[in-house]
Order: sequence, then structure tokens, then C-alpha cells
Amino acid sequence: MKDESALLKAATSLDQDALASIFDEYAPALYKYLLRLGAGSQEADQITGDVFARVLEKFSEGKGPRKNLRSYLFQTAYHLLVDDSRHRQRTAILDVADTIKQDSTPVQSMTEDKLLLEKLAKTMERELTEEQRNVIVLRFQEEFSLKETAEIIGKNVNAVKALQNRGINRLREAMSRENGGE
Amino acid sequence: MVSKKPMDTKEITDLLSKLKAETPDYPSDLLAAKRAAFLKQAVNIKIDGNGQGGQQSGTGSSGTALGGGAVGPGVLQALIGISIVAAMLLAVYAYRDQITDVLQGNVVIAQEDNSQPSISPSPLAPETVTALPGPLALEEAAPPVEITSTVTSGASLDDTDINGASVVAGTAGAEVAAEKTKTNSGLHLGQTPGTPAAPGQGNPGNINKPEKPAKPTKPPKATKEPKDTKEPK
Repeated sequence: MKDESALLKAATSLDQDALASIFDEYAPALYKYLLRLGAGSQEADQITGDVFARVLEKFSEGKGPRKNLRSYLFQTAYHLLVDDSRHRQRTAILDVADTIKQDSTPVQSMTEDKLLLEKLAKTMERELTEEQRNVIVLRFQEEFSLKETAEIIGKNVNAVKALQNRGINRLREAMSRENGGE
Repeated sequence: MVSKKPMDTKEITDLLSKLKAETPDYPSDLLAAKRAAFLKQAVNIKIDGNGQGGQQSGTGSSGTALGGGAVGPGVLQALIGISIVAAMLLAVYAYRDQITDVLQGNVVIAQEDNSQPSISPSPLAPETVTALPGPLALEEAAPPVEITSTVTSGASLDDTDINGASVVAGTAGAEVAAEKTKTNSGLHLGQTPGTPAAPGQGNPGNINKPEKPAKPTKPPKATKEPKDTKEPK
């Protein structure tokens, strides 16, 4: 992959190779990120297309990101998902548990880890707020830094730290209750 | 089996990392379709130049090439407007003689209407003497043009035979027939000379100023009547 600044410069001039490279790099990651935030597969596919269409629009206007394209794409995806969720008048549903079940493995034959992961996914859906869930996903699954996470969700670093700590604590407490501890 | 011990933060973060791997991948067919649509849209935007046709998103549909058509309607409307104005100016120029004739004809008709007021006889004013300006009727040089004056003798003037009465001076002095008539052709308003005439009624001559036409023929009472009104003071 080219250097990001050179790639962005080429993409701003609507270079086909640069745009294709950006799509191949980030489209699958965006799709997964949207699924982790609770979008359905069809919704995730649609929003992923929307993200790249919007980026293309910005590039054609000579705007768009000058650096940190990844954060920009995830931020756009998050905003579109929130808009879409509000538009549909529904709460974001974290259906990671459903996606785990898609492999049609019987519960009895699941490994201990699989069961734990299913519990964790359901707990995230049930216990965390939308912002806490987003911070947890960005920090521990997408592996963004605190600063990048703060940029994506539009808050400062301290707010991200607070959201992260509260989220982890709630998950820990809930999972401990589920396991019969504490 | 699931462990029953309380979990710490490290275990939670480890589980979150493992959960990442469980997320399904982007279906390859959907990904390929989305990629092709994205690149096609980029091509369309690049062709359009400013990206006006490539703003559609979501389903991967490419934009339509609408760029360049946005300026057309405004220019076309301006051209049509200019053409209409030019055609009107040409028509006015081509028929300028006819337009001038029509306008002049209207002026002549208006002048004729002014010079021939309708006079209706009335028994209340039995005498109206009309004197037309000119060398035959007026010894002094009254302004021969554009002055129309009328003196109507009524009961307030003691029924004297007023020599100067209605003096009509048209725009052309040659047309004036200077003759002294005692026919019943006056305004018959039965008003004193000081009473203003109603607008549009009778001869538009100035009936409020009988002095000027009366002076040359020296009708003493007619010319001095207004002065007499001032004398008591």
C-alpha cells in the first residue's frame, strides 16, 4: 500500500488505482465495524456504500481528509449508522450474538470460549449505552488509540477514558453475575 | 463448562479481542458489486468534471451525467427575452410612420373637439353675444391666439346689450368668423361673470374675465362691473 498522504493526494484527483486501493483496504473493516455496532448485514452493506460515496463526493470537491483516512471513514460510518438508526426509530441492536449463531453450531457442542463470547455479546447489547459500546468496539476490536477514538466519536480523550472504564466495569460486573461470581 | 469465578478487566478485554475474530466477513459478491459501483461512480464524477451527477449513494448506483446542463436553461431564457424585445423594437421601427400618423390623428381630433364645444340653448339666458377676435371685431390687439373668453350677459347685468360677449379665439385666427350675433348661442348659464364655469361645460373660454374683450368695444358697464365691486371698500 502506498504512503497514506500520497494515496490521499491521488484519491483527491480521483485516481482509479488510489480509490480502488482505499476501498479494498477499508470496506471490509467498515462492514465488520458496523456489524459490531449492531447493524444488520444488509444495513452494514448499504452504509458501507454510503461511506465511500460520501468520501468520493468530498474528493471531487477537493475536500475530504488530508490525513488519517481510517479515522475519517470510521467516523463517517458511525454518523451514518446513528442517523440511520434514528431515522428508523429503533435502538441499535448488537446482533453479534446472532452472527455467532450463524455457524449453526449446537449450543451443547460450543466450546467454553464460544459460550463466553456469546454471553459477552449479549451483555454488550443489554448493558452498555450506545457510546460505551462504540468506545469499547473502537478501542478493543478496531484498536484505535484514545485520541483517534475521541476524534471519531467527537469527544475529548478524558471522556473516552471515562466511557471506556464505565463500559468495561459494567461488562465485568454483568459477566461475573452471569458466571455466578460476586 | 463456563467458569463461575468473577471476571477481571483483563479477561474482559481478552474476550473482546476474541470476539473481533468472530465477526463475519463481508460477502465477496456484495463486496465485488460495491467495489465496481464505487469505481464506476468515480469515473462518472471525473467525466462530469464537478461531480454533479455522481452524488447517489447507498445502493451503489452510479450517478447520471447531468453536469453541463445546469447552465443551459438560464442562457436560453435570456436569449428568448432578448429576441422578444428585439422583435418589438423592429416592429416599432418598421411601422413608425403609421404610428406617427395615428398619434397625430388623435391630436387633431382632440383639438377639433376643443374648438367646437357643444352649446345647447337655454331660455334662461336669452342673449349671448359672441365676438370673435380679429381686426374686424377688436380694435385693440388682444392676444389673438390661445385665448378664449366669453361674456354672458344675464339678468345681473341689467339686460343691457353688451357689445362684447363671447370671444373665441382659436388656434388659427383666420378661421374665426367675426360677427356680432345676438342669437341664442351662449352658454345660458345665468351666472354672473365671476362664477366659475363647471369643468367641461360649454365654451371653455374664460367667462370670469370679461374685461379684456370688452375694452376694445368700450362697453362701459361690462368692463367696469368688476371694478365696481371693489369700490365700496
